[in-house]
Amino acid sequence: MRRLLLVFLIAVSLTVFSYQWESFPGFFKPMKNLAMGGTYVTTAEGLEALLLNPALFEAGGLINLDLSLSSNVAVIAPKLSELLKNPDKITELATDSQFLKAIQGVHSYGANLYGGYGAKLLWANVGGIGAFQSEVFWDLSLMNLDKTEAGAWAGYFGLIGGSLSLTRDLRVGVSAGGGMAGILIPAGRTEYPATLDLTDPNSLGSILPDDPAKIFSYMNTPFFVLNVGAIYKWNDLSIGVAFHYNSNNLLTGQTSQILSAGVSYDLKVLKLAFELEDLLNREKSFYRKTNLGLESDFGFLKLYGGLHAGWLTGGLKLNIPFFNVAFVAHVVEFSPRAGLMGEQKYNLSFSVKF
Amino acid sequence: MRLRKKLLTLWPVILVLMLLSSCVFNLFSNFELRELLSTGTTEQKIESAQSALSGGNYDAAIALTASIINQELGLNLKVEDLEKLLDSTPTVYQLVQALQDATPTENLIEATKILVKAVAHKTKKDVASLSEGAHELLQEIGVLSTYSRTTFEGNSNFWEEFETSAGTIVALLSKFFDGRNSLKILVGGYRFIAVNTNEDRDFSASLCAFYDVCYMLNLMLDLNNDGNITDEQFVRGVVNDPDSIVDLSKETMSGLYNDPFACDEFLWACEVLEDMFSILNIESDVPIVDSTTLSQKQKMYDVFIIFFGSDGL
Repeated sequence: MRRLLLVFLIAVSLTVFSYQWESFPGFFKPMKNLAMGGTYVTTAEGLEALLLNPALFEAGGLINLDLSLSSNVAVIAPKLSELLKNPDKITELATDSQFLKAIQGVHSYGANLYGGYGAKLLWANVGGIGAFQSEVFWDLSLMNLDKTEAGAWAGYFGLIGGSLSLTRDLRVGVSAGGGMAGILIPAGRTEYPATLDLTDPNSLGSILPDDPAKIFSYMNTPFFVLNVGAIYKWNDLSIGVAFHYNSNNLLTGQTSQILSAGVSYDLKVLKLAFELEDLLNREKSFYRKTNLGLESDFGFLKLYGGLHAGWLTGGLKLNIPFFNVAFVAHVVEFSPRAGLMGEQKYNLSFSVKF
Repeated sequence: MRLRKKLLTLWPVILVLMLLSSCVFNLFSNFELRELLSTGTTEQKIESAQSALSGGNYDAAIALTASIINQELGLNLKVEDLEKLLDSTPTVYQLVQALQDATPTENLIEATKILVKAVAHKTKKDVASLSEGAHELLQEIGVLSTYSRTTFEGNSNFWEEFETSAGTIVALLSKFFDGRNSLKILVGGYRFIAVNTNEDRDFSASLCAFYDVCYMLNLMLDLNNDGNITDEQFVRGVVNDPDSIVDLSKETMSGLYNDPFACDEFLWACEVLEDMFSILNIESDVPIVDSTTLSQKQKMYDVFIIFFGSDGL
């Protein structure tokens, strides 16, 4: 009976704290797709399409760095930089109400570094991409310090794949690969994120890595990734479907399958996209799965807008020859329902094309 | 030329989208909330309310937890009432009354915990805001130094500083006394948690006692019964001229005068305060008064006399 009760309590606590991770080792959206409301089935492009819908993959070379910042960066960054200069200020920071308010709620910071190359080989495009991902996450309430959630993970992986046209209108693509990932906080453990009691001074110390120099040794969980996609173009209308499989999603400890379908229409001045993401997920509501995107291309400048699970998104990309700089404002939804647990984020992206 | 025209047309659209995305505005949340309130299970509502609290969607968290309490206690509240809980005085009082008499269940306790946190955040009465208020207050009386103020030097300046800063102190504190409905929920909710749980009992009891005193002052100072006190002549008078507090209290009518409902609520708050003092092991000496006596005291000064005695003023 006790066991049954324990299983029930664990199940309840898992239900209550089951975050809907929007990116995990082997799966992330480049800035353009984040700016376009998270759409990717008919809007992914270039080498990055190998990650999302390989049918849209095109030949070319790319090195890219994405920095993902939470909206509280403007408040906490200057204060943390002061703390780094003068560690004695930790007490002052712990009583700084502006800082305390800014760190409350759900926040995440991340960096993605990736690059690769693709070329035309007979009638197909073939290529590969390698990526390094990392993210820090916390969910904190000052009224519940004993149930703070925090975590950090990192991973690296490689994918090879290609795309080809089966008919004049139908294009298909596939990419596959694998990598290693690991949870850095709580160091070396399998549950993510960790639940901390910040009122206990030893709690934080118990989840941090013993030796930061050995961080790569924590990335010891292998995973396999497969992406399959198809796109059908009829004049200016595109209809697509994409499937992502991850054999071991580090953050959930399970396999991940993401099936998404989308449609887009190119008005020349403006491209419109509508998509239903993660159709197989029975926890997410219809509104949560809905993404809308807008894109306008002026050559040297690209403008993006969209709606991701009801949240407005937007961004712009400066397209200087060989070099791109992009800025995006978007929201990550951690809940299976639209509009309940959004984290407002800003992304900066720098890329070199060759 | 066409490119220029395109740019001019689309720039504002994208810019507006980016600015709106910075405002963290969700177009679907109302549909989602309505669906959850109408058809969601208790587990779904608790999970969603917890998510909404973490995500800063306090309105959704309040509506969802109120819906759970409504469901568990059979209150028959409408979805529309739950969506605008803090604006509906009868619903707030019905809910708190039901909570007071309720047999505690796990769902009820969990929902109440989320509800009080969401209400405190929404009305800026949460721990961070309280600590900010306390920090500003301590700075104002010179206990904490800032760049803009001279450093506090010894105890000799304390009362001098206190007296000169009393107006600002009242102004800082009075914002916590605003919002009668939210204070009622905070008092009733934290009382329910403190009485029925062992986890963080002292913390819940302390918060309950603080909000309870705020609620009592709200009842006493709010003459126009709009739920707020910062608009009252008495408070503005004290802020502008702190020395006149006694004279003003002799001139100003009590919020409890000829208001049996406010008097009953005041006495309920006194009982809650006694309960919390007992949990916190604080010996209390809250004067015993009845509703009729309170409602007959015309001036605020007369009520102060009952509770603080003539020596305290």
